Amino acid sequence: MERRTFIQKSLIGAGALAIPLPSYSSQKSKKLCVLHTNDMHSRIEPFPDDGSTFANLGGMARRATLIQEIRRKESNVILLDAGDIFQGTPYFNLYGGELEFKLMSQMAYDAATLGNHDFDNGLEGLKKQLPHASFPFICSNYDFSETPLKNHFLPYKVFDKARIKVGVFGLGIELEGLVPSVSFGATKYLDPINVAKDMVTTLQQLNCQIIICLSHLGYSYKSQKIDDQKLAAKVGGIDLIIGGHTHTFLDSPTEVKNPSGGITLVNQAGRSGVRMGRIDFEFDRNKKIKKANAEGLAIK
Amino acid sequence: MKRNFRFSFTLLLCAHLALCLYSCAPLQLSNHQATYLVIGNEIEEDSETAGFIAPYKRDLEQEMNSVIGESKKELNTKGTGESSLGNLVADLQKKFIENKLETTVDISVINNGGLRNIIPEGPITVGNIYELSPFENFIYLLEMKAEDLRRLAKYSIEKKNLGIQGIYIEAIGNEIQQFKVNGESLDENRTYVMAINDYLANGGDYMDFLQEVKRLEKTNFLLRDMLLEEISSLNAEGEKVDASIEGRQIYR
Repeated sequence: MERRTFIQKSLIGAGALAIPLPSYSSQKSKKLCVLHTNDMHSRIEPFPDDGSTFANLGGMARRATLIQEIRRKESNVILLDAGDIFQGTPYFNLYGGELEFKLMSQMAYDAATLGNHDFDNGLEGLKKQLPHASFPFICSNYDFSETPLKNHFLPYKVFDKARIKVGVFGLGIELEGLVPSVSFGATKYLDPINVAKDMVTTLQQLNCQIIICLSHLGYSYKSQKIDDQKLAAKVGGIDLIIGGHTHTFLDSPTEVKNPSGGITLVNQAGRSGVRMGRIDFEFDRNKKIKKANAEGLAIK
Repeated sequence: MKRNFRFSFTLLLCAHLALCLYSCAPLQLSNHQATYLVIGNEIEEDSETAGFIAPYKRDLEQEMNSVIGESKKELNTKGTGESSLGNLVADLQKKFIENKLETTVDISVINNGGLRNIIPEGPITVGNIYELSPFENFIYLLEMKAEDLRRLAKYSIEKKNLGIQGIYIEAIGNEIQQFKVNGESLDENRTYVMAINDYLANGGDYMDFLQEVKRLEKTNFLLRDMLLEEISSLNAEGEKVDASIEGRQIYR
């Protein structure tokens, strides 16, 4: 049945059969629209109209409208979240994150990573809510093998978005000192830099045309503490880091020169669903660029 | 008819493959354009999503409006250091931890600045407690030496911002006059158990000196949950919530 629909659509797509394959010219470019949120912190409803900084902003029913509008115009959308979905309004305290996950599923999020606050109800509290999420959680540098959450998360995922292979991995922040130890239990935190290097290698071997890191490390710290900018500068091959944790409002992505000689974009969309980030990537078929030179291709 | 389509499709596919042999280099990321979208009130709510939220919202409001106790009078943070609300929270914190951990708490401390609203006279709702304690602060138990307590007293005299249970402080200006722990003079040869929230224990409100103090317990009890539970249990015993400025901290 699906195949039949596909065949018919293909025929329509090709126009009349008499026209020879206009869409397969080597000049044809493809587009991927990346939408992203972070640190939504259970902000289901907009901030109240009380004159405060974020008064009247945010709200998941509005976000749903916005996403639907974009999906109507763009055929190739990937929708991602960089963690701290939980905690911040009584919705979380009362429902434990159920509503957040259900609404994100309805909006058809493709994936999310975990933030420190997603551990706030403990590993069991998180596990209990996972059935409400129809999207996967991608966590590459937490080892859950000794916990009840073993095998509940993916280290990476390759999304096929209209034949663009989108490789996504996820990095979480060190939990010790940030989350009560009873809440994260035997979860092991692994060095983000080493894990990121492994992930990039894996995703490149899987022929991903774009590699995205969902990070809850934070945008920038003056100390030695690992952050998105340091990560971008130390690990080559990442095209985009979608960040969180520091609630940073970036009006445009920060461009960081990476060790492969290319540019890694670092972006973050503030917090509480007040903003959603959008980055449109274009992909070309360029015969002049050989595969070996593909890494670090300039992002203009 | 359908078979014809399928046959045509196969032709199409062959043509595509043939073409690819010559021109199909892999797709390369070449360009990007970024923007951000503000989610403001000019965007209409998606009615289906809003409808899905509605029953959760209704139940939440019902929960927030539910009455868990009654206050004899308005409790607030007015006062010089010591306040009625600060005393209440410090007292309940001690009682709560002693029950939960079956231990003795010598001193219990709360920062008035962390108490974000009053408790009104009359019925107390869950919503009142959320407004009073919106932060996700956990209760810690610290092992305080005599020297640490002297620093606490000095801090309290300077800042006049703490609600304290278990300590009596009298000072003229910044000069300490009297300092007692549970009615007794400070004992240099013992340690004291102090309940305090993690924000202060981690050096918040310039309490840097607490960062180095030994942690006996980092509980995952939220300050807010402590208040909800203790006020509910007072109510269950038929008691009204009450506290006063009773002269625990005297500053002249």
